Amino acid sequence: MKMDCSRFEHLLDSLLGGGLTKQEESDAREHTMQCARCRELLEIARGDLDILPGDVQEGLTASILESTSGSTCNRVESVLCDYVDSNLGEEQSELVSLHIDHCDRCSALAAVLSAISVDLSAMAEIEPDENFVQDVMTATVYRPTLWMKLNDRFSLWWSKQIRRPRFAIELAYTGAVILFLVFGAPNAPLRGVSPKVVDIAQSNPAEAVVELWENNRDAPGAVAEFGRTAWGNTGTPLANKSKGVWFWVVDKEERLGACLGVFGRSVKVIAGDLWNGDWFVAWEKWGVMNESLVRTWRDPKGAESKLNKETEP
Amino acid sequence: MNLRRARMDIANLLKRCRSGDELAWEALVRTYQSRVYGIAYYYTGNAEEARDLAQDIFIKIYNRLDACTNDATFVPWMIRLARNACIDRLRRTKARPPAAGIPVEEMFDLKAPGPDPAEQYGIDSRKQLVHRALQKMSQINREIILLKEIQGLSLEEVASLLKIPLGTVKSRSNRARIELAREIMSITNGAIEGFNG
Repeated sequence: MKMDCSRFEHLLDSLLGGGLTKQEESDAREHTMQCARCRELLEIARGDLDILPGDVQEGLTASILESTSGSTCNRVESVLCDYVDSNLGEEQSELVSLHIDHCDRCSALAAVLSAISVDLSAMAEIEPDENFVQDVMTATVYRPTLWMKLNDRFSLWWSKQIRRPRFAIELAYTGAVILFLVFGAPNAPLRGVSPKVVDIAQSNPAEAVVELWENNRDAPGAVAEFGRTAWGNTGTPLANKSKGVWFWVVDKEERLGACLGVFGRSVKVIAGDLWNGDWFVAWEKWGVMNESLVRTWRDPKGAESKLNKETEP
Repeated sequence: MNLRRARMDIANLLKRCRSGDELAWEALVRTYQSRVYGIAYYYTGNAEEARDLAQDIFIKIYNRLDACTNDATFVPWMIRLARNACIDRLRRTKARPPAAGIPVEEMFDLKAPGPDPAEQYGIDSRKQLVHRALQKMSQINREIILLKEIQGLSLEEVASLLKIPLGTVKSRSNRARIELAREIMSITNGAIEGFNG
């Protein structure tokens, strides 16, 4: 039976779903071969033909979403980082991808996110200047010792001193005082040196030394004799006194050591008595310990504590 | 600049440092100086201050090497120490701002030796753009970007460092990246040439 367009449109969904009889199906096919409009309709219904203009498509989708679930950009944004990092499941990733393909804003955002992921990891390191390592080593491993610190401080102090305007005057004054003490004072050690020596020294230091030696040949002997006399008057008594002090210290150390030994042993015994509740016995032993300490102090080698005899196993 | 660094694994390097090996310490400094300086710079935004701070950080690391008991977590430990030092310095600077009125003749001494880090990005305009965008972000988001995306710490390590829950770090991390991307797009007014995939 010949099929018309109206009947074809009515049976279209059954034709696609396979719900027509063989005769109806045959009639429908025959109709599409004759009717271009219905043939196109069938292709559209099958999805083989897309007649929706591109510029209308986006607007249509947007208005449909607006009227139903709302815009999906916020939803995409919440998973965009995982999408860029490939942490989404396959299906979810495909859905996001589909949205990005049709949304300029999210597409741009995804592109920037993807690019900065690479840039950020490359920004972890910033090179400091070439002296940085040396400065760190100086501040850590190569820390100055106390001597170096003192030396540095002295150097700093000295450099400040020599920059003072009065430094030259003070130095000259000090030098003059020293020269006076050495050459000019009544008791100056080199007072007896011939003035001629100075002249000779200016022209020939070697001759000056020789003449000085000739004139003061006995000086070393005199100095040595002076030293012996001085030692005899002061050094020997001082040395003897020092020796006495040393022996005193050693003796006291010996006595103290012995007393500490007695004390330690006694306290241990007394503590045991106190622990056992023998208060009276502990009190008695305390008195014995005091006597023992006095005896030990007087005679550290000979004295033995009465208490120690009692406590010996 | 010679960028050669130690190839020794970190466990051996630390062991030698703890035993007093100066060469090992120098190798450690060379290996991590860029990261520490980078962290200091991102917090202070000033090359000279970052240099001083980086040096102080390494002194702290040197004095507390024994406190890092697990060599596998040395980098997060180092970053934690660096971050704390940076925050302390920022707090002190905020409490006592530097004196104003520095004489002009002294100003030339204030510039840190070496190139400004921002100038290092001169050739790479994308990095420069990212750097500018980072400065515009909120502090917490910038910190999360610095620790997670730039320094590469894990979510757990960032959560531990910032003392916030793990889930919060994850969600904030994503928001921070989105914020950064938006800042970049805002700076370029949408003209993101070079960023398009």
